[in-house]
Amino acid sequence: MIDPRRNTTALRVVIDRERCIGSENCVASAPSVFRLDAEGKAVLLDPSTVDIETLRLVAEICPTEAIVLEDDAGNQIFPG
Amino acid sequence: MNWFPERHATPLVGRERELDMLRAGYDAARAGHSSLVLISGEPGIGKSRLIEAFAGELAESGALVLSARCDDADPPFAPFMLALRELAREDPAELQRALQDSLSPDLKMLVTAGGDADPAALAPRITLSGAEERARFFDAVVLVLTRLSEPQPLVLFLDDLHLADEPSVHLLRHVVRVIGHSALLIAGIYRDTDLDPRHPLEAAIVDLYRERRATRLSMRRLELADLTELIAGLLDVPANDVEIGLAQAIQAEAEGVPFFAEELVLHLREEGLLQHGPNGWRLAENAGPLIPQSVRSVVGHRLSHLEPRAVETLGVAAVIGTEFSFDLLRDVVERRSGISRADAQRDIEAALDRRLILERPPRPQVGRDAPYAFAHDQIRDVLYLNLGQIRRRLLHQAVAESLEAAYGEREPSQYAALALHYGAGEDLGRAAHFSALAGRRALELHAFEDAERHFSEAIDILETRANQPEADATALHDYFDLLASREATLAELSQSERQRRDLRRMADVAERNDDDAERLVVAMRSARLAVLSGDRIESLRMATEAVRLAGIAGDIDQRIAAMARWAEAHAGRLLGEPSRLLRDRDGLIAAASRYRAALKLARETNETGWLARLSQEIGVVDWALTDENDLDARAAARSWLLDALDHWRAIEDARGEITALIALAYRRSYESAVAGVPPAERGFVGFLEEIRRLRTEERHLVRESLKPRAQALALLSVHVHCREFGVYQTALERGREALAWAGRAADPRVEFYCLGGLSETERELGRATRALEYAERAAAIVATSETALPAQRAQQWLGLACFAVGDLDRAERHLRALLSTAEARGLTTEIAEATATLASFLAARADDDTDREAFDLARRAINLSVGMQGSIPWGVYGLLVQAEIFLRQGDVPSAVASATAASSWMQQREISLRRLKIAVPFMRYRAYTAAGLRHEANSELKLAVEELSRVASWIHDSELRRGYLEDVALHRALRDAASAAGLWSPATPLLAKVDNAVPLTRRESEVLRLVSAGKTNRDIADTLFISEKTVARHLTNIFAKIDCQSRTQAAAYAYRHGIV
Repeated sequence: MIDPRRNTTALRVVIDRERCIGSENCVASAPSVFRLDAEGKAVLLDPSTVDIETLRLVAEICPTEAIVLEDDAGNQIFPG
Repeated sequence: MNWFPERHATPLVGRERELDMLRAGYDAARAGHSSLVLISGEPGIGKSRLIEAFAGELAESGALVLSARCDDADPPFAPFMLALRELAREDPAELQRALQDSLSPDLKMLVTAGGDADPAALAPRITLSGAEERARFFDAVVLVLTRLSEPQPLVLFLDDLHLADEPSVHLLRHVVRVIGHSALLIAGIYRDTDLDPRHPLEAAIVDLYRERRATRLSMRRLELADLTELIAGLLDVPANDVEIGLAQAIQAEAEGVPFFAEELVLHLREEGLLQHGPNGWRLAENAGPLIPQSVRSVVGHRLSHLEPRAVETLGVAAVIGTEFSFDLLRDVVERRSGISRADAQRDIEAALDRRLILERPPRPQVGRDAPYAFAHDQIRDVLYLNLGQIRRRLLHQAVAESLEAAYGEREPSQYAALALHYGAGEDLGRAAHFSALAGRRALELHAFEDAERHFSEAIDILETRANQPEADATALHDYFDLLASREATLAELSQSERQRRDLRRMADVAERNDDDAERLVVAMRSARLAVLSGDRIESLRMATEAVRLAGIAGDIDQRIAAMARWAEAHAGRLLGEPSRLLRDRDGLIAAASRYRAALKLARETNETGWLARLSQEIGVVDWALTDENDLDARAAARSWLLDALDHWRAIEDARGEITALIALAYRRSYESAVAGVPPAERGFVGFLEEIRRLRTEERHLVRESLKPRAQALALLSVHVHCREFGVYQTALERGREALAWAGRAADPRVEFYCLGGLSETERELGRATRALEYAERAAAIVATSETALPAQRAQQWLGLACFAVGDLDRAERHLRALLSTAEARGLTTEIAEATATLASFLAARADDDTDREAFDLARRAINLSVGMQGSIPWGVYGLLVQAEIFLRQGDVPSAVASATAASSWMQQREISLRRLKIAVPFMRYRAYTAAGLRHEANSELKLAVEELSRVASWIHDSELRRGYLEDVALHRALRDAASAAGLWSPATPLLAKVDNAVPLTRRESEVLRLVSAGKTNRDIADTLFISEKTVARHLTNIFAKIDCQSRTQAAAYAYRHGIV
């Protein structure tokens, strides 16, 4: 049976620095996971401090879709 | 609808378990939960029979039943396409409905077999990569299946999946993964005994099963009781009319394999070896030793009853395949054996009578039908094996020739079959030719794995020839082209090791051919691969070689490309490939000069694509080379990017436009951050919106079904950004638009976050009632939606909104619930946030009991936050709560200490939240004031006022601004304090700007700007992603606000106020 509610156990977060424009949407939404570095680009802190829902939302509201989410098997889930 | 043959009078026995599973899958599909049922078993176990029986059950149910069978010589994606093509024949209107708005030209073409699809009309404005084209195609298939399952449940039977090509398996996996809530049942049937462990189906099955997206069942052999029933059914007698001895004798040979048992019974009956005795049907006295002991011999016996000519005809059919068309069969037997049409017809009828073959409903192959199939694969196998090697080869050759005579090269779906028959017929030249064609066709359809397979087949054949010393030039050039095609395919499949091997072989062939054009291809591709794998020396070596060769043998375009590749090798990145600039300064300087050389060449041809790509790259590299304080150099670098943007726009390449916009947006924001200018002021929001708009458009092309959702998220993105940067006006407008799109997308999750976002924004603006309304709507979605949503978010929004409207009891309930949820979930971040939120709330209640608890909670929030990295704000909230309580208790030194700690926390953690940037200095002001430190107090107050007025100046709408300045308790208090200290007056520069602002909202200004540019309402609606009605409404408001009656007057106003 196909259950779209199935939750993945772990997500890998990758920031595409080429795309990042420093809009700070991620920092505002998940300050324990993201911060801006000296170049004004997002860097990753500790993704395990927030739940998967928040991570997904943060990736979805990045204006340039610079936040990439992968599941534990290495499949890209967002942007997808 | 049901296209299964009315074939078996054979009863289906002992398969209740299997049928129940299929029925359960169907019931789930009817209830809107799609499912995949996988049925496996050995040959002859009755898989197809089971599916036929189940399809028979469905005949009355009103379900739409489609089926397809896989074969090794199928074109890419055959099972899905054949199933849909059946529908094209049976119910074209239904298929048209499902295909409506489908943006995949590939799908339309495949399904309608080149019918009315117009690829040009569907060509996207964005050049998609191979992987994206495939994603688009897959999505289109999902959309069609979803639509077909809307009016009635859809059941898709896929037989012989172990023969499916790899791309079809990927498609199956994709469909099953994404289709979710549709009335779709897919039943896949495969031979587990024939499934190579390396076959992609094996991995797909394991994955889907592990993900609980598939149920599977291995069919077991029949028990004696079931076998007795089977025999009775075949003899058309009741089960108690079969002697147990007969059943045992058959079971002894057939060992529970129904096909074998059935063939045995038919054989014994035909031979007259069955008798009716006193206890029912039994073996004739002398029959025991006459029972054949293998499937092959029983089938052989049954064939021996046919005329020799009929066996010969069937042999030809066996060479053609499991399914065969009469036309093709007749053509081959006529050429090869001189059997006339009428005789062939008679042979087929005889085989039908003996149930050796079945009449299938016509399969919609172009031009011809394939209405016959062997009753069982094993019958075909026996016929095929009996032919002998030489005869088989001759017949394959004959089949290939007949196919080629019928289709030539006009029918791409036959390429693979032609290659197969020519190969088996040992006409290797033709085989290689058609393998190459099949490969190119597969590449066109983004079926990369198939393409690789076909190219490899052709290469294996040509390799032998190419290695002979007397190989002619044409053969060698063909060999080079094939290797190049495979190398390109391997690049799509990211198999760089094999790419390297092919490139080495290509280099050898190019040397033997002494061909500079081929050497250039090798050098260009090798350089590319080396850049991608970070091999600087190799990439430079190959790129310089490419430049040299392009000078000798290349046209202008190749010379530009080679020069650009040289630059890429220096820069260490490919044009347009997202990767960081990692190269040292020398590398970048060299790259910049090569890019300029390439650009000079490109200007000669005026090829805009090159101008765009090269300008962009020069901008990026130059920027990296400039000093951050050299504003002129930075402006020059940026102007290259602006050039690139113009070029991309000129050729309507939206993807290029996005990359240029991103490059520009980042470089603006960076400069803004350095200069301390709010990004919103410098058109940053405009960049964001444009990027998101294009990205949505791009996404829409790839995933047509996701458009409303993508729109909603794009707008939500802008909403969040604008709120964080205080651009509340735009934040509210985009938030509301986002909410509308989320509703249209019927996506409760996105709707939930839109409502929450709006609630937060309204609360920050002091409009508590609206904040509460939005929070309540969000909570209602959590309560009713099937999707799991983070309920604690809704509690937080509700709690804070209740707090804002003054319903303190309810706020406390929600905020305490928030904390206990967070504790139950056990995530430190959430606990810290909930603790800080509750502490702030309790401190605001300002009585002794709550103060104690608030203080403790604040300490907990601080302790939790200390251990976390990042711009964590909750410690600051905790410190503010403590300072507040200290002040209330008269412990001024502690209050000063807490407020100072909050301030240094802000700096250390680089927290840029506007709220805190106002609240922290204001708290310090209060603490210093209490301590009598007037000077220090005033400088903090100034900081707070500056921040507050800066944010206020970004709010265009006067009503919102008033709410922001007066309705939020903190801002009101700050304003009062500032007025008393003489720091708040209309003369404050930032506030003066507020007072003189044009009375239009940001969106209204945009509309006005477009009106002034002579755009129609339709144009404006398209540009701004809103409806024409909304444009009209904006115009009415604008005309009222600026008091004018016509577009011309409005344009004049715009010019006067610098809006254009």
